[in-house]
Parts: sequence; structure tokens; C-alpha cells
Amino acid sequence: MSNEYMGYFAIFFSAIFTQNVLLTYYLGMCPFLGASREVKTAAGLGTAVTLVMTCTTVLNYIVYKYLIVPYDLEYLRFIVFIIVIAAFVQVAEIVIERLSEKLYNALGIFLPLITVNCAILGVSLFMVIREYTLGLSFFYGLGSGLGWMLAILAMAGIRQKMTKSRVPGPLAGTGIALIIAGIMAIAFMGFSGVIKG
Amino acid sequence: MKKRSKINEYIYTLAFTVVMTAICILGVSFAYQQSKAGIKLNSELFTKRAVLSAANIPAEGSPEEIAKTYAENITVSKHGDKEWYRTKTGDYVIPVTGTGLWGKIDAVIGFDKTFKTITGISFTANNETPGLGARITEKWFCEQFRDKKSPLSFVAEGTKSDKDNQFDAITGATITTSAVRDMVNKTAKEAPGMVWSGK
Amino acid sequence: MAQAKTKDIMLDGIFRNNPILIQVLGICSTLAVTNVLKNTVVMGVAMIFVCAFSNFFVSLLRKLIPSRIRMMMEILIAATGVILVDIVLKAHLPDVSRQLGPYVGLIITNCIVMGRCEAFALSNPPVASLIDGASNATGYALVLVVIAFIRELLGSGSVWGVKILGAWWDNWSIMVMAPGGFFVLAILLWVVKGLYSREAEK
Repeated sequence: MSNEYMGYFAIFFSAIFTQNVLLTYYLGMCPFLGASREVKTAAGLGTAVTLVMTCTTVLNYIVYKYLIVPYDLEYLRFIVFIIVIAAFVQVAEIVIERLSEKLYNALGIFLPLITVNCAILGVSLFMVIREYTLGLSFFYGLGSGLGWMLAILAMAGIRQKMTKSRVPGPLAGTGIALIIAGIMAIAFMGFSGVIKG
Repeated sequence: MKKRSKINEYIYTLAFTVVMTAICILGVSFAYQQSKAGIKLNSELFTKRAVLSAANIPAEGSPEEIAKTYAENITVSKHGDKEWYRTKTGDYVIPVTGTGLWGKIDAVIGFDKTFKTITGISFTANNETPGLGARITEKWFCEQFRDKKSPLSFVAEGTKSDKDNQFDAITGATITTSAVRDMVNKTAKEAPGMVWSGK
Repeated sequence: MAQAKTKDIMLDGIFRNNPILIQVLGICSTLAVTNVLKNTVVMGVAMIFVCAFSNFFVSLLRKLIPSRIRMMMEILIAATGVILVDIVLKAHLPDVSRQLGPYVGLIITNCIVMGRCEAFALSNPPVASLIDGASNATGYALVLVVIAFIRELLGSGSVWGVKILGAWWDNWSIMVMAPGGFFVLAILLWVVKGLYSREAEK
């Protein structure tokens, strides 16, 4: 309950901007670097991450509160969280496949990758450590997902524009992507202070 | 025939999952049971060291020695529903929770028996950024609170202020530093009243 | 013969095919702790253990694991390794464990652990896999230690918590904050790739 006064909006806002999981915690870097060459791919992956992150954070909160804590199984939480995430991704894949082929082609192909996205597990672990309530967990998960999506979309946009730029040879590809990410991180830090945490 | 083997495959997959999960969980549980006592001892020792440090009682050496120093000097006193620590000389060590940038910050703050002077502070738990806000646990930061008087304000890191109502902030962690300042000032203001209401 | 092969696997993982610098894998979770050298070293050691551990067991079970749940099982094994590390840290290095917080848990989803399981352990015998996992993680840890050294030196004027730059040094706060990590890694990549390509030209 220690975060009562921060309110849902503050958590939501800071998860997207000032405390972006990707730009301040480096979570989910691999797909960020790997899938940010095209805006279309980035958008698909970003949406899938947001969906999975929001749902798994809430699911993990429920599992943690009603299963792990009462039975004193704190030390097992890594395993339990990752199983919940993997199981959710599997189920989501099946459901989306049945629901609409179009949606599956847009989102489904990214789902298997998501289980190993550090950001998903990371958000669940942070949620536990910061002792969020159910409502806060939901907004934190949603905000982090949107923040991640925003970052990868911006990155993909910049990289597309940059295809014609001349980058020093050894820096091309990942190197320049990292420098862009660094500058983006500085820009996002500019949002701090907008809401007093 | 083909259908049958598919069912078999399902059963095999399921059984494999269950067996593997069981083995992993059993292994981990065994390891946890083995070191449970050690972990508990560590966290008790950690609290004891924090309390002693906040009361400005030197505590060095082996775990046994620290436990001995603690037993000789500290008693637990009840104030309302709160548990405070008191030293042999009558000083108070009060557990406080504040809100930092990320979430709660737990600390124990020591005051002399008149609540005028701070004897020390140590942080028992925080979720601040490593290398920034989390530097509140560093020795120089905690040490500078000794013999200071509330209400405190902070000045830029490296100032090494010798005024008794100022302390050095941590660069890049203003929110965390403000949280610490508020924790100390609030406790110094409210604690004297609580001593009486506790009785 | 066998010895030469072992040496090859090790060199590959640590230098020739370094996971961060050449494959650019697995910078996710661990980069976050590279603003303090001591934490980085502990994370590196934990990483080496988990990677070797999961590679070994995945390889041991490679013929038994049904392909449908292969990834699940790899994660399960990695998670077991991570929990063991977490317990050991809590019992023996409580201060460090307190500082690392959730980052230890994030080793589970580190791409290198999964990547080596998929690329090497599934098609190689256990001992070779163990060496492969350990050397890849070592290569990874070495890069992190270099980054941490630079960041701590420039950001806090200290190494391993000991101040070595005097009062004249103005700390570069940006180094301790997230963007610093990106920049240092990018520059490191630049330097190493530049050296490699120069060597290749010769």
C-alpha cells in the first residue's frame, strides 16, 4: 500500500516515459535490436508484447498473492512466473489462431518469441518487489508494454529513415542502433518531473 | 494406428513435463531447506547490525560478537502498536518506512533520548536505482547523519557541509534524497509524541 | 584431438564468437547492473553457472525432450539454475543479493542461455555443451566487466567501490544512468569491430 498516493495515472505515465523498461532497464533488448528494422514488424511485435505483458502481470499478481505467498513459496517464484508466462503465450497463440487468420498473421507469429522476452518476466518481478496492488499491477503492465512499443516504433522509424545515412563502417547496424537508443533514453529522461513521483 | 501414436505422444509430452517440473521443484526445495536457516540468520544479523549502527554503537567482528554486542545493548520497547529499539543509555532506534522513487524505503533511525540529536541512520531495504538512489546505503551517506539535528535540509553532493542541520545529497537521485530527508524530519517531529501515547 | 576441440569451443565462446560483441545477444538484463563493478562480477559468475548448468542438462536430456515443449523445458532448467544461484547468494552474500534485487531472476530470460541451448546443447554431448555454455558466458561476462569498469570509473570516480579519481574529478552522472550503458556498449562495439575488420584486411 506504500504506493497509494502515486495513483494509477502516475504509475502508468512513468512506466511509459520516465521509467521505460527498455530504455532505463535494458529489458527486452534482443528483440528491440533484432526486430526494429521495419515499422510494420515493430508494430506487430509491440502490440503482442503489450497484450502479453498486461495479461501476465495481472495473472502473476493473482498467482503470487493467492498461491505463492500463502504457502510460503517465495523462492519458487521465478519458476512459477515463467511457467505462467509460457502457458499464457501458448494459450494466446491457439486462441488467436482460431479467432482470426488475419490477426494470427499479424500477431501470432511473434508470440513464441515473447516467452523469452526479458521485459515480460522483468515487469512481473518488479511488480512483486515494489508491492503493487492488483490495480497498480494492471496499469504498470499496460504502461510498460506501451512504453516498450513506443520505444521500438520510434527506433524502427528512425532506422528506416537512416538507411540512406552514411554511418562509419564498424558502427553500422547494432552499434548505431545502440547510440540511437542512448539518445532516446536521454530524451525520455526529460519527462521526469512532469509527474512528481 | 496413427491416431493412437499421436495420443501416446501427447501422454508422453504431458508426463515428461510433469516429471521434469517435479524434479526441478523438488531439487530447488531441497536446496532451499538446506540453506533456510542460514538465510534467516543472515537477515537477523543484518537487522542487528543496522540497529547498532543507527544507535552509533560500533559493531565489528564475527556474527557471534555482533549478536553479543546487540544482546548487551539493545532492548525492544513497545510504543502503541510499533516496536522500537532502546539502547542501554536510553537512546531510541525507530524503524521507519518512506516512499522513494520506486517504492518503499525501510530504514532505522537512531535518536538520543531527548529526540534532539540523530545518532545515526541505516537503510534496511530499498528499491532505488543501483548506482544512483541505492547509494543511500553507502557508508559516507549514512555516516554524515550522526549528531545532526532535525529539521534537516540537503546540499549538493561533495559539499561536505559541517552545519548540523544539513547533509549531502546524492547527485542524480533527488527524489530519493528528498524521501530520506522527509523520513528523518517526520520521525523527529512525531516520535516524541508517540513515546507518551505509548504509555 | 579431444583437447584441441575443447580449446576451440572455449576460444570460440570467449573471443572469436563473443556473444555480445559479435552475435549481439543477451544484453537485456545484465546491462542494467553494469554501473557498479562488484555487482557486475557477481552477475557474471551467476551467468556462467546458469549457462553451463542449463547447457549441460539440456544436452543430457536432448534425446528425451519432446520437441513441442523444448523451449519450455529449457526455460524450466534455466530457472532451476537461477533459483539455486539466488539461494546461494541469499545465504552467503546477502548484501550483494539485496542490491541485485530482481536482476538475478532475469538471467532466466537472457538470450544467451536459451541461444546456446538451442544452437549447441541440442546437438552435442553434455561435457562439450558444459564447456560451450561456460565459455560463452565467460566471454559475455568479460565484456560486461569492461563496461562496468568504464562506467563506474567515469560515473562515480571509483573502481570496486574505492575512490581512485581525486576531488578534481567531476562525476559523469550520465554514465551511471541508463544512457551511459548504451553509449559505452556502442563505442566498445565500434572499437572491436573496427579492430576485427582491420585484421581481416591484412
